[in-house]
Amino acid sequence: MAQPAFDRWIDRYAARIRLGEFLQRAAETGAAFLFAFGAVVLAVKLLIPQAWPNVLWGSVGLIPAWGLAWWLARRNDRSRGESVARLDSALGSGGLLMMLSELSAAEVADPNRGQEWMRALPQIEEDWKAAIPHVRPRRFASYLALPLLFAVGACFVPLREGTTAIALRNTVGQQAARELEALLDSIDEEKILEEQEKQKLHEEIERLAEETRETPLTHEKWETVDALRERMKVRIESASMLSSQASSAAALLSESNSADPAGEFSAERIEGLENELGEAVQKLMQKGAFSKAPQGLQDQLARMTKNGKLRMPGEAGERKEVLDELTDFLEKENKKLSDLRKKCSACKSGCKGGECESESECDADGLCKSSSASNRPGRGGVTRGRGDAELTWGDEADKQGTKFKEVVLPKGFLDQPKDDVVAVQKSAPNDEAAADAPRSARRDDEAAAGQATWNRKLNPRHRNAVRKYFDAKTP
Amino acid sequence: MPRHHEKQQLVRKQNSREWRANSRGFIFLPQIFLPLDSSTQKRIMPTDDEGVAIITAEKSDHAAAPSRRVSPSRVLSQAETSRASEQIDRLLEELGRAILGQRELRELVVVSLLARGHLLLEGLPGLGKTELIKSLSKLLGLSFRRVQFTPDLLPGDIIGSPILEEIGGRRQLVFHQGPIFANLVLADEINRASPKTQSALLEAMQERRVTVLGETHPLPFPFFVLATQNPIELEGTYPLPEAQLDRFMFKISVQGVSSETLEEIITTRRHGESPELSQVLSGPQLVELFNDVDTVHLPAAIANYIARLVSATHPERAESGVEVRKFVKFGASPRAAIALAGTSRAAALLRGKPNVGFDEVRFVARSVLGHRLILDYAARLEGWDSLKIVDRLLEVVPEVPGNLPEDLKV
Repeated sequence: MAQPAFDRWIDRYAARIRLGEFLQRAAETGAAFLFAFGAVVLAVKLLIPQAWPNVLWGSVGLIPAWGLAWWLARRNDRSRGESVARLDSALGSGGLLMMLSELSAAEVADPNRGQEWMRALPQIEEDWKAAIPHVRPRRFASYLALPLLFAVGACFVPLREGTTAIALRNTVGQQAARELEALLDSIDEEKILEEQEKQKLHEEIERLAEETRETPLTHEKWETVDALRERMKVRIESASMLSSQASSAAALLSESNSADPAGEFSAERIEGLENELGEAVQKLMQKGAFSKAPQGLQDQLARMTKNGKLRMPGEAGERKEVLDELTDFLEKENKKLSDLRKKCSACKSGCKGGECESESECDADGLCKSSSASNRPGRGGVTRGRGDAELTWGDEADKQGTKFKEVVLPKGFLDQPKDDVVAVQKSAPNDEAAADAPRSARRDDEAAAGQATWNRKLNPRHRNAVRKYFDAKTP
Repeated sequence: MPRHHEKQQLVRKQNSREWRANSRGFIFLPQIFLPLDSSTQKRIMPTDDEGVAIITAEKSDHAAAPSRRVSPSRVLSQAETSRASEQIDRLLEELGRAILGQRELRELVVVSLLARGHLLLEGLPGLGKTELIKSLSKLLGLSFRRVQFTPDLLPGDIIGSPILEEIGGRRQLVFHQGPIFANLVLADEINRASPKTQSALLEAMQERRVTVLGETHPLPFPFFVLATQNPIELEGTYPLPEAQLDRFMFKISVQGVSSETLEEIITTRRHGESPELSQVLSGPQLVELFNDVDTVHLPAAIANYIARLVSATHPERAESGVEVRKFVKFGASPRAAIALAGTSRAAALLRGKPNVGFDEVRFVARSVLGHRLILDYAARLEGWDSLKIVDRLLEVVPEVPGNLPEDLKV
């Protein structure tokens, strides 16, 4: 027996519902998958960049996700009866299609009944087509748009660059040790330190470098670093001072040689300057500071300090020449020492007192240029609150400084116990209650009504009688 | 008269058996399908010393009504549907001559009649409730009795009572049938009678028989109780118990008519008298209509809708809405679902359809479910009545369970 024509449309309707159901599930599973995929891509790109190209194969997982959606849609498949009912409603056939679909094939084929009623169904194919729901995957698109953007966006996130350099442990400690080594080398070049001291400093720096290689940099080691740096700084400063002292003395002696001896410089002054210069030159020579000086100057100085005391050449011209040459050399040395001092990192960190925030705020002596900087909070010193808060000074209050006036309070109730004798009088005391008292005993016998009865004072001897009266348990 | 006694006993047993079959809706009983005349309605009750006496009943044209077994899979042909629809239309048209306007009320009354259900009309006095029922009885040619319910009415006044009579020189208790032995019984202002009298109708309405002194008397077929009640002047009334309300297939609220209808009434009627009506449906035709109603196909999806609709009236069910959970104390009984299916079938036939559709269910739902919901006091406080609840249910319960996938657009 031929299949009724409406069966084809019912099947088509059921298939359309199945497709809609699949799209619904596919949107849900697809969105979940794309979110997960995007998250994995992002994690790989940021954490394991080496695995990046391989992770793209994960996108194939969308196929099983949609396979799962298809399975879920099939599992929740709608009944054929539902399709028939919906199609019937859409056609507006008032249940006729439902009836015909429930009849047996023989009844449908009956020309007097089934066939007759089939003719009452819409005969135009367009009507049937219009009753079938159309696929408008707006929900599908709206569900997938954001996850898809996320997944695609995750693919375009740049890979995190991996570092090939070996990360050194205790880098800060090592750095500090290297700086100290460099500073020591610079000092050594200037022949500031004696050989024994230099050796000792070198050993200490090496020990520090050894310790900071394996163990963390603790505050004790920082103190060691600071102490070493401070010692070298002191040496540089003392050498600089010695050099500048010698330079100054040499310059003055040279000046005295050219000036009138009876004028500004007395014989004692000149002798003093010569002693000063002699001591400084001998100290510098002991440290080997003149090793870089011209050979002529070195020989001259060696002759001059032969007996442990500086003996200036007798001839004035030669004397001036030696002193000028010595001054030039010492000034050059001073300049080098000044440069060396600048290289010392301890000299660069702000002012001496540490009050300024940057070196630019310090003057040549290492002090803060502006006095207001000393008011900054956290820098020590005397402040009146936060340094950046404006303090306004107005007039003082009128009562400022007024002396507090003492007021004697009255006695407390406990100071007057009730059993105290208040007064002694001849007549009996008046024991009548005040007329305006709401619960006075004097109203007890008067007739009352309304709220007044509630306020009536009930003598204790009557309470039992009232309680008994209202007690339901007692007969 | 021993032979006569045996004969009568045999007849009574046969009647009883046939009625039981009839109550299942398969075979109709020609002997009882009668327009009863009060002068001839007599049944002789058995006495202590005498057996069963004579049953006398007048035969009519209805006795020739064909009995037909309805095949559940049979489908009405277009010719059958058109014929039934024409007959119903004629009935409605004639009814419309007596009751002007109120097309929906007339349709609901006819639907209730075709579904063989009892009907409760509620409305203010003077809206034509009694006239409607009287007209219906005239148009169908059925016997009609009107009982005005009052507080002092007794069950015996409705059902009938045994009277001691002398027959053939012997005293016998003869059962005198009450007004309930008619095809159409109009119980006017039913809520004015005492619960005792109201309950006398219970067995009659459900089983279509009455029992007096242990003797069961079948009622004529068809048997309809058409009751009216007044929603005002409730002092001294006895609200119908839920069990009895449930036995009414329909409860219809009769509303006032429009000004156009009023104008038509006062221009066409003299002293409010309705026109003379003649019978439009014969007994066999009515029986055939009943058969046609039974043959109307109820698709599975519609049955499912009815079941969900009735189930949703129960507050404890998951599918019930917020309003039902909040306001309904007790939902509709399975009898409501049966009534909904039956009346939907009748409504479909009225519209000339061989099957029930969702529209027919919605058409009868208010009248079937409205009086079967027992509401909470909260409903009254918040201005909800049972009809409003039914309307809400019709809104929230989908015709087909579940929704179309969102990616599909109809």
